[in-house]
Amino acid sequence: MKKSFLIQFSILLLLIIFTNSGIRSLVTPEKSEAGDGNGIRVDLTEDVSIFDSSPMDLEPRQGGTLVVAVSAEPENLNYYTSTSAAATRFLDYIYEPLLDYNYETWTFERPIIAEEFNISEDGKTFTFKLRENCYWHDGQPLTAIDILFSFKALLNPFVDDAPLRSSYSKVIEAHIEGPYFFSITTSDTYFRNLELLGGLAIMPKHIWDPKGLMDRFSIADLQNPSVTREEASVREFAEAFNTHAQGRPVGDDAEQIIGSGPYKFEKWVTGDYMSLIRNDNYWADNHPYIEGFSDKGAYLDRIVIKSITDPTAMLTALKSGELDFLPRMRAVQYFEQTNTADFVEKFQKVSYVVPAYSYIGWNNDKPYFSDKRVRQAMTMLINLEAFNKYVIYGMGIPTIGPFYIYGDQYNHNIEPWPYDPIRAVELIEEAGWVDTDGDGLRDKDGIPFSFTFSISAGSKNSKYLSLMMKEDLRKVGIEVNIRQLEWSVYVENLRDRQFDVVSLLWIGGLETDPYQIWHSDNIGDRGSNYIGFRNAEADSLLIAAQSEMDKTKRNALYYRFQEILHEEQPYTFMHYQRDPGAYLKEFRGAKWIPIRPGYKFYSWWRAGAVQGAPL
Amino acid sequence: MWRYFLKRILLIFPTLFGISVITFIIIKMAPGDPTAFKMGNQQTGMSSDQNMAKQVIEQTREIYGLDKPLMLNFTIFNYESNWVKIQEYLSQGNPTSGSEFDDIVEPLKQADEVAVPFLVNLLEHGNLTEQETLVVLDILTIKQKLSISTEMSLENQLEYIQNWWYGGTDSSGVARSAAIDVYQFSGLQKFKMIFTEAQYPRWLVNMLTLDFGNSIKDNRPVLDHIKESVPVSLIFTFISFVLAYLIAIPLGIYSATHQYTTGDKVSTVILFILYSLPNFWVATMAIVFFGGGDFLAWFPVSGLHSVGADDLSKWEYFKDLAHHVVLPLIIWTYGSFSALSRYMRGSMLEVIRQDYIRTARAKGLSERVVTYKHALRNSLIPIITMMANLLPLAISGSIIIESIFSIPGMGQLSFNAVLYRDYPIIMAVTTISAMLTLFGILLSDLLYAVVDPRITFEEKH
Repeated sequence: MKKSFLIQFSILLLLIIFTNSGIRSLVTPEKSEAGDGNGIRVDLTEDVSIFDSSPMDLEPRQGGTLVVAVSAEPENLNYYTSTSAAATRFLDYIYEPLLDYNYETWTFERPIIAEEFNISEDGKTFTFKLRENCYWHDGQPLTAIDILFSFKALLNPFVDDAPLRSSYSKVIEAHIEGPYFFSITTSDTYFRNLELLGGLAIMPKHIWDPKGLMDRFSIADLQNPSVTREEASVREFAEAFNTHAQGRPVGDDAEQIIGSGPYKFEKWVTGDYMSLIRNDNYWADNHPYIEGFSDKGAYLDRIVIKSITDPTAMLTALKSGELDFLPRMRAVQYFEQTNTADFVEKFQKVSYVVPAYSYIGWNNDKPYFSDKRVRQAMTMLINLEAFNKYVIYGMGIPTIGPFYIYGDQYNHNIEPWPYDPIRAVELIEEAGWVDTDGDGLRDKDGIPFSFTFSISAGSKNSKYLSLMMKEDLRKVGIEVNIRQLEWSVYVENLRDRQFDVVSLLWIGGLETDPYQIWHSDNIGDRGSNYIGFRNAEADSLLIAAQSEMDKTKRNALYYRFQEILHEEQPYTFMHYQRDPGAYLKEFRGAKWIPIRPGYKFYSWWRAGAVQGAPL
Repeated sequence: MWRYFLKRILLIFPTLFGISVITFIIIKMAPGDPTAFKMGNQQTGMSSDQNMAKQVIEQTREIYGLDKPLMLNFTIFNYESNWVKIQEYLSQGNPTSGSEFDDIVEPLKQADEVAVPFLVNLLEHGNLTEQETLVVLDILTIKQKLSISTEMSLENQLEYIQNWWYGGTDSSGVARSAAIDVYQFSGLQKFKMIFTEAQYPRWLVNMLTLDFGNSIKDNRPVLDHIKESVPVSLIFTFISFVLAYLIAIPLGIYSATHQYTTGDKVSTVILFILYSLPNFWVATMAIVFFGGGDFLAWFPVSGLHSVGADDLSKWEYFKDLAHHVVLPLIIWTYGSFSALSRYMRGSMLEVIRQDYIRTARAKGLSERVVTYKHALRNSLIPIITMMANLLPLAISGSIIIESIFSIPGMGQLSFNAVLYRDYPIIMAVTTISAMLTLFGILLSDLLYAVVDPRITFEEKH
């Protein structure tokens, strides 16, 4: 009996030693400070504009394949009905809009399908003159008919694109004047109209509506329920559109997605990868696709987007050569698991900023957070600097408001609230929260200061944040209960406003309209102002700014709006995020831009590529 | 025997019906719905441009029929009493937003087209308070997709309804036909609607014709999804099943015949250590150590094929697949050794103690013949019947292993479906696996009778 126990014990011991030695060699970093010699590039000054991360010692050449990883596969590839970022990013190489951002001035004016555009005096009618040499991948010309069709498809009430369509509800009519003139009218002046109307990806009518079901209807008809209800073809078109084979091209015999962009769809193997292939007949191949960004439409012959769910598997795949580019990894991987000499020699690490900010949202209608002094105190009680330093490895850029920190709308004159627990406690006591019953918890009107912090299960950062808060607030007599919720439930609680505190990430753009999130009209009825921010001055500023077409005047209004937000602290604004990534050094021309997703493969090329070589 | 078989087969149908009703209710009662994912996800965050207000959500729900009642739609008949409830609710000065209000208004919305004439009539002759008028307008606007905005004045809204209902010229000067004729329903139509305008009956009717509907996520038929994923999971289930039996049974026999020897104990300990190692941890470790990171580069770590595998020859393609399968397969299998070999050991020990084994030994048969000819056969009975579990397992896959190795099998499909609240897929997967489980149980009962003559289903006379 004794002998067998010894054997069992020694086996166990061996196993423990084995696993521990394995773990140690994994987590021991050689050095974890940013900057010196470990290949990390955290250059804050270059966040602002396009920056290159590859040497410029060679001339760009065509050819080669790039394999890039994404964490989740898109649900479908129908540009309008899909809501996942993965789909948009993939389709942006295939479909093109009328206009796009100019990557140097960051104004929305770079012509793509449109050659010129004109906005009427009253700012409501937009006229686009199209290029006459634009072609779809199947050789058909791209004309104003396709543009008009795209808007009709978008605005068809039975098409499953309600979230996207809601941004276009002010469109009242559109006309084509000849094959290359398109004009569209909106009911209101709105500063984002050009971006919305010009930025819509155009889809080919001859593919998506070959029977011409939508021909008979005008945009105004589609807004009229007695037409859409009674005309069967409106619904028939929508059903065909929602389930169109081009929106879900799976398998070997799948239809090619027909677009007009520099890349063509090649293949989608469900759960595995999707691939794009260079469009050799690209209509704009003979002139720079994007000024100062790429000399030709594109260099790489083929782009493969592989879906890998697990972050460890992703990094391993990069190291083993299955991947060429990993756009997003965990901070701990970036700083501690990619420091071997081998890795640094083979791969270029890079971190780039994208317009998405994290925040803590206080439900302003709960008794604890109805007083702005308490909300200010909360902000001063949370050590965001420590969070940034220890949890996200200094990858956060502190922000004071909802606008993109590198955009024009951001008010740089506002100083962030300091970390100041002493002042915070004073404010909380001023607001009437003191411990009257001696149970160690502050209370007011019989309500103990004990709230629930809802975090989305699976978000590590939120989890660390909530634990930090629980510990810090306990010291000043406030209890934090942590509740982990699955995403779908989390969102439902948000919409129904059933929460005390949440922490989330908002994704924006270079120029955004804060109306959805901050105007008091959007409280309740599942609007996006779920924390219940009400401020009469802010409301009028938001409305005034929407129709103010002069950028300087508009931004002045938004500056004032940020001052109010800063004073009221309905959110504790945390950080803009940097995404850490790494790619094989053989790839050159990697440029990083401050809008999502942070990179465009048009400028990338492979140093070792042989033109025309087999894949 | 056949009588028994027939009885059991017939019993499957009511059981399946019960299972489907219960699953349907549980899934739909779970909080959250598919529209949550239209707002973004936890990894990338939520888009601040999108307006996910009530109207957007309701429209999306309507496209997928999620706005209908679950079981039977009786709101077709009692919308008038539902209206009285709303009036009572409003007269108490309750708020006209929030989840409580939504619950009160819901039944009236579910009556949908049938209630429209009643609602229009209310607007015309109902002597409504302003608040009540707004609620009625709101229901009409959302369910009938009228282009009324709340910014319009009340008179304009009412005028719009008037035009829409009786026809007339709209603002652009075009004559529109009246909507009134579209909304007349006969008694038979209404009776049919009890079933057709409810979620479960709709699903059941489709299911009986083997139409599981389309996935909410990508609008593709659910069966296509399953057809894609089943073979993938089947590779793993089948091979790991065979491997487990091939290794565990000899191990179990060895342990039984060499009871309490060092070999028995060592194998027991090792098997139990394997059994207790959580597979997500082992999988991650395996990726790190064998996936070609900083250690050994033996196996690829994601998916089933290399990029471009389709262009390879048949043999190369197979080799590539096998290369990808090894690592997940090991993880898939190692945990099942211990249970199986313990079963084998236990039943073998029991048989070895039987009198007929002693008789066989007394006859002077060699130990080999005693063990493998007489004891083994009888001790395999419980093991064989366990094979019936293979059926439901074949389509369930493994959520954890498939997620870590990015394998597009049934585990990932059903897991993502649950996260996304992709009801048609969840229902199809649960129904099919319930069906297979029931058949599996039946099969194992029959197998018992086949391999063990002591068990019979004949009725005793």
